[in-house]
Amino acid sequence: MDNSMDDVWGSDSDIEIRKDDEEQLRSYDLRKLREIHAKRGYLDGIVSSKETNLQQGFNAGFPTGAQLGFQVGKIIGVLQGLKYKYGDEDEELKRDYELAKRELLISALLSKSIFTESFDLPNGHAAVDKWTDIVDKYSNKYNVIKN
Amino acid sequence: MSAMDFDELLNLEEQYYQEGFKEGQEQNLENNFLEGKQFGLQVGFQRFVLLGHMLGLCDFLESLNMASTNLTKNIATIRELIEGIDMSNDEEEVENLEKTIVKLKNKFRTILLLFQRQMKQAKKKPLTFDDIEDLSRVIGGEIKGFVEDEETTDAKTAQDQAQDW
Repeated sequence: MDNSMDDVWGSDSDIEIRKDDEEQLRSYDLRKLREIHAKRGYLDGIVSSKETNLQQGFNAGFPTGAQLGFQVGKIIGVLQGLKYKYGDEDEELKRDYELAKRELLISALLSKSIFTESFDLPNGHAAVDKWTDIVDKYSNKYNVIKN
Repeated sequence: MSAMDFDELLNLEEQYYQEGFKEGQEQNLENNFLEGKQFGLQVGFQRFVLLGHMLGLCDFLESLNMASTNLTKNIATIRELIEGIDMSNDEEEVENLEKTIVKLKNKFRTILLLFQRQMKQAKKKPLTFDDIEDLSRVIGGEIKGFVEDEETTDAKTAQDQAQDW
């Protein structure tokens, strides 16, 4: 937000400073005037129509979230089943299951830092990809066929 | 002071105000969109994690070759139901999803009973539907505490799950 505030009243190019003192004073006054009224406008603008666009944003994010949740569910489902059945004799599987339960929490996966500024994932999701590979490994080991 | 009459000044004030207003409004729309998008990501995730979870468990259960036509049939039904789900957030779809989830849960409970019966012979503590649903809700951040068995209750896990959502 700081940057855009600068844009509003930090601009200076369109007011010509003349040699004449009076002109200089005038351009200073103009800048002041602009600062005051543009700021007033900005503040009114930023609280205007508060809810607009929330729904559009929601609809844009929902399918990506759904896809991620679905994938994560499949990962955790296979792991939970395998761990239940073979966990007693497969230490690595047991450990990975515990780790998955931590690394696949929504709070970790949807952390702001993983996304671009506009909340996109142009290169997929690293943690989900990693766990998909791990589950593939166990699926091969225990003959789980992915459908 | 040189010529700037009152009207001119007022016009200028209005012009500056409008410039600022437009900038503020655009910023507001952008903020709202992103706020909504972030929330949509979260809700989408939460709504679909259990579906994937059941599907993953179906894959696992099939690998056990339990030789039950009932089980095979029910798993096929579950796959079909899930395939029919659209991941958009249309009003109609949301309503559909609610109905489908109820059906899915019932089918899945039936499958789980068959599995539990087999596990009973192996003298294992049964894997219950509550275990499964709870895990989904922990992953989706809807509940924080989670006790499946002794080794998941260590402090580290509890701390991780205490994140604010």
